[in-house]
Amino acid sequence: MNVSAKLQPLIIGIGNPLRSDDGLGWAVAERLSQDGDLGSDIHMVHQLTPELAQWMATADLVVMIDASHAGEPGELRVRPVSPCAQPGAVGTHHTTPEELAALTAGLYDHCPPVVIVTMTGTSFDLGEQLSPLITEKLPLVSEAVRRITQT
Amino acid sequence: MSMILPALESEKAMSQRITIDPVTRIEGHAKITLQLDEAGKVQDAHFHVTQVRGFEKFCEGRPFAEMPSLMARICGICPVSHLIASSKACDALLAVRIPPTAIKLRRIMNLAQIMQSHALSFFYLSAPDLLLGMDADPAQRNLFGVLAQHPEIARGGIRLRSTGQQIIELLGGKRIHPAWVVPGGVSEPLSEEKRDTILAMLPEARETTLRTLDWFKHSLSEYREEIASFANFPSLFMGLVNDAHEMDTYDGTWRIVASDGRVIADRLDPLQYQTYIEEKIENWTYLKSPYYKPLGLQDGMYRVGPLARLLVSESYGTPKADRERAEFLSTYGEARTSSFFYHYARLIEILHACESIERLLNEPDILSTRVRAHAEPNQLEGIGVAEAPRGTLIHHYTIDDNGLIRSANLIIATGHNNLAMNRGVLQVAQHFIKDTHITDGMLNRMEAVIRAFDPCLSCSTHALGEMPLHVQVFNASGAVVDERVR
Repeated sequence: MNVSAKLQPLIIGIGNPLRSDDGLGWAVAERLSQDGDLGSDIHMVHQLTPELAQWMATADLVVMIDASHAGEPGELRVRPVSPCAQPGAVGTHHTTPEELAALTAGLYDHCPPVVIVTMTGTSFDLGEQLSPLITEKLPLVSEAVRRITQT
Repeated sequence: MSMILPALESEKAMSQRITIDPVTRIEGHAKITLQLDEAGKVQDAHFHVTQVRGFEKFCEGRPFAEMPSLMARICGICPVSHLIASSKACDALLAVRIPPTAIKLRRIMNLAQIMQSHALSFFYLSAPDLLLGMDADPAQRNLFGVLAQHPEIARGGIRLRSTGQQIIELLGGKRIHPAWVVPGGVSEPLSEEKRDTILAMLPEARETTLRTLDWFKHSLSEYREEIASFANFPSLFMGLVNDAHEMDTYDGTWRIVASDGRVIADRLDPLQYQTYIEEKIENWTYLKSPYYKPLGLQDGMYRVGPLARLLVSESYGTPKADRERAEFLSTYGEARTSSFFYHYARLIEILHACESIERLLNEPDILSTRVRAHAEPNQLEGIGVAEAPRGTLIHHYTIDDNGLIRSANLIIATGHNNLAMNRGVLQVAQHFIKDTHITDGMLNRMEAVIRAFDPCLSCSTHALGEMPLHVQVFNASGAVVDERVR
């Protein structure tokens, strides 16, 4: 992906900061927001909802950040998202990145590249703190997002 | 989906029960059961709310000042409504009169909440039925289906909800669970920049709503049967009005009218709610069934929410919404009490919210920095009442001398409509189910009558994951004789 300095990325941190490592997406988004050097529009959401489509349509690139249950604790994954061909009933409680990409394309005839960055959490129990492992590895997630938006 | 009930000839003595579990495209978990008689006709219907969350219990012992933030967690759709009712109850515990600017700012947030919640209900949850038809393929009957056939309406609806959410976020810092509304007022004044940002959003929201209203009014001729049968029966209606009998979403007194427009009660003090409202508890649902106590359970059934607010008030107090209100009342006459018209009233209320927010933002003192009264608790009991998107919401707390919660009683808007929703499901079932052949369209109408009320069961339950439609047919001995899942 060849992205110039004029790139207008949209960063979406997903999760629940009251559920320990599920707050990873928000923590990274907050850190990137504080750094303020990406020139990105940054949203922090509990879940993906249809309203995000309007912001996605105006971005050059969308990077979603979320915690994952799958894989080894602390495992970092980066994968591109393709609009799904047969989206289900998107709603207020459950919309996938693929469905949201399809909705964006359907609503606005355009959906920029979408990438999702995940890290496997160790604890999703009630709690406002990330686990020690995720706290330690959080900079890796931020760095991955930076690379995606700047390369 | 089509379903054939067991042949009756061999089962004349058998009564049957149909269960729709869970009901889809509502906020929360519920199911519907229909009891058929021996001839296969619908004999009874129940709308069950199947989960309990227990907020009234687990807040006991917490400091009262935490209540607004705690209570906002009841729901991710209407947290602002709980914030406001809870903060008003806490204002009463402090025994303070909060600054006038704080009242205006709270009003704006409540109206923005009504805007985004009504947009969700209309465009996301009910538009698939209204635009694609009650009998459309369930796989297409969703927001993508709307998008495919009516992209402008889908875009407008998403934008409208987003506008309401952005106003909440601009005021409260967050679009969900903002902690800005606090006992004694609000925590931060409004900046000029934010005021101007909000003002700039309103014309588009107003035009979208007017365009949608225009489409909706023209499409109503396709829904004569639903208008006639969707919880269309005499009942009382209840809502808050101000001294001039204009609809009020934040303060005022209750007015109760009958279906024919007769005023049954006026200027009822919401703080005396226990005098007027009795709550019946059924063993088949966690949702309580309030009724107007002076008339008893049978005649005291009432409806709340946008249609009720339209009918109990004499005006909205804003010109465009009042024009739409007058047109509605003159066009639909006696049929106006059909719950199908909740959709209509919802759109008019969005229009009113646009107008009212604009008016409040242009008030000369809206940028005042005096937005919070500070005090220690001065009373041990406090009641807060406001109009949530779905109707009147009541928070009632008692505290001990240390300010810790001793008891909490919440009467949620959806609960007020419980008796009417149950009767509505029965009416729809009896109207549309003529024999033992039950189609998906019939089942969808039973859900759609519930959707018309826009129940927010998340206020007493919370849904996680997908909500498929699950239909089970039971015979008299309780065995499942047919089953479908979509």
